[in-house]
Amino acid sequence: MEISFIGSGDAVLGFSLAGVKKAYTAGSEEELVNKINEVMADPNVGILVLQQKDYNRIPKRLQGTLSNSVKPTVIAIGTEQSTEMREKIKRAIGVDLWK
Amino acid sequence: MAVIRGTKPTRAVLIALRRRIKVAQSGHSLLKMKRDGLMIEFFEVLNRARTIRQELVQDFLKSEQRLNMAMAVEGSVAIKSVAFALQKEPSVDLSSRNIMGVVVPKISAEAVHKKMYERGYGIIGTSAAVDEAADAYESLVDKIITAAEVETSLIKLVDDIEKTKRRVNGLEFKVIPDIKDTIRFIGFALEEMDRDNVVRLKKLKSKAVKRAKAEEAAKAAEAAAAQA
Repeated sequence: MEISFIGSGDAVLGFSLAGVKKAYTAGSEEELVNKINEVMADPNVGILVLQQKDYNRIPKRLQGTLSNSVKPTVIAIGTEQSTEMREKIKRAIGVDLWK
Repeated sequence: MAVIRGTKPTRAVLIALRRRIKVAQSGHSLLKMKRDGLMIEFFEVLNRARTIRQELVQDFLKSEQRLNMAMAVEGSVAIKSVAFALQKEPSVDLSSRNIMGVVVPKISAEAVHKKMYERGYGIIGTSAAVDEAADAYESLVDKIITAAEVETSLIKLVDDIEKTKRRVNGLEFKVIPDIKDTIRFIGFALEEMDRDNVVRLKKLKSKAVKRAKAEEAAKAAEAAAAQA
């Protein structure tokens, strides 16, 4: 299975340098959502990599679908902290264990 | 006292409820064990996820920096052409693993990180900056593959812990006490019915005794009249 990346131009270039063929640029939110849906429907993609700042932009509903998806597995990278995981842990365990 | 609504105070219902409470209690203890097991697993994954997340951010920053450097030296067109020349694509193998009923992904991949001459573009035509950028991004992809597995497992585990906790609490604080209350209620109702019955029987008996006495008296009176 392959890895796919959706994000801004520079990072797309970087990932294609690492051999990731399915690296797509997405600027506007609409474009982003369309691309994500396209990649999610692709049976050959095993891991979908997003940028954290893009992940924060997409609708909450899609965020939920992405975080629950196992095939493909979705991961967001970036310097911004994701609050989602932290809140989830807080809600489930009752204590803020993330840091 | 929260009696389950619409229950009839009969012995059959009582027996059914006793059976139900047994099932509920065994389910409760099982779910409690599941919750504790998931917690143990969760803490293990949490520690891994935290270190990996930190490394990921560092790697990400480093590779961005290297790429910028390469772009400054070679220009983005040259890097694009290098990217097109690449032959080997990173491929991963996705399977799922089961931790106490929670399906988590298991990702195995051959290392993305390659030696310089394995990449497929000429070494002489490009500068070291491009090599460094490619190098950094390859190790970033390697990290991402590990992080993807760990983080998704973590999210799945957290979701399931929440669900299991809700179920445990539902059974412990609602279902089991309700059944207990209902059993007590039926017990009281049956006792009350018993007492009613005893009173009724006593009444009937005293009536019957009275009637028998009256009949005897009547017979005695008849006999006395016949003798006279």
